[in-house]
Amino acid sequence: MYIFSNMTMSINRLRTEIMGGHDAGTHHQFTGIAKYFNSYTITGRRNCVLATYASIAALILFFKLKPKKQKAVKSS
Amino acid sequence: MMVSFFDQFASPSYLGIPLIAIAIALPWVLYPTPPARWINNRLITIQGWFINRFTNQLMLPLNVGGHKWALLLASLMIFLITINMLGLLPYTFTPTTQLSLNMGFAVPLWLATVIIGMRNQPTIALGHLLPEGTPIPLIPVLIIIETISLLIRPLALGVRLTANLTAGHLLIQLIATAVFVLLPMMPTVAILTAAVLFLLTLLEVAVAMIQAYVFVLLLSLYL
Repeated sequence: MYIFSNMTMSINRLRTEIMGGHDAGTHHQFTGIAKYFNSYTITGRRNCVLATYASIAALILFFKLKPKKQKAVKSS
Repeated sequence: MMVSFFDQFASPSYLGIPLIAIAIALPWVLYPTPPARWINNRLITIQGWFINRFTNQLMLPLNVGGHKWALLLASLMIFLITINMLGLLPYTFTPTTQLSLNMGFAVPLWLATVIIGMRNQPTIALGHLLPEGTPIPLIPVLIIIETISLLIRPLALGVRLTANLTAGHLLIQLIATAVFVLLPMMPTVAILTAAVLFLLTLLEVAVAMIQAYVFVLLLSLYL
């Protein structure tokens, strides 16, 4: 059972490396914030995308919820 | 009643009944269903050979999971190519000149590819929105650009097919009208224009087949 699960893991990694375009991330050694946000590993790219979408959503929410300044009414 | 060049694109109806349903159902009638025989006649053998060959070619870039789309894509290709070719006959209506029909194909199928990708492998689907090796300052810009390019795909698919077929049919009608008008006045010019019309018709036959193929190929590559 242990040998079988080891075989499955190595086959999956081999499949990931053969299926072009996906970086298995095995030869990149990132530290710090670059470990989670980089443009080389697939999880790094995913996190960058999610962070960008979250920032855009936050910006839109900020401008939507910002209280509008009421103009002072001038007495004639 | 003024006859305009765009009347050929009006969706036909008779006594309030839309005839586009008949136009869309026509390709189904034209292809014989293979009977349950071990060896079929020549027509069905050739038909099956073409469909198998085309489906094999289409499935080449896809992994085994993508082969589930073989039936849908092959039938879509046969449908589009038949409708496009039938539309080149005189006085016929071409349903694929209607943006509504083409968007009706493009949007649900594109959306299916996106939803299936997000459901089965969300990390890879989201990760593809950022090209590998992008410099850090360009990351947000490229993510926005890739997102826009993803969202514009169904529009491009539908409009490409509509515009190509509409433009082709319009050109054929314009040049045919020019030949007809020029014939009594300048026969030589009319003959030259007729030669141009012949070449254009050949081009439109090629465009009809190629546009159907491009539509289906791009859909398969979006998987």
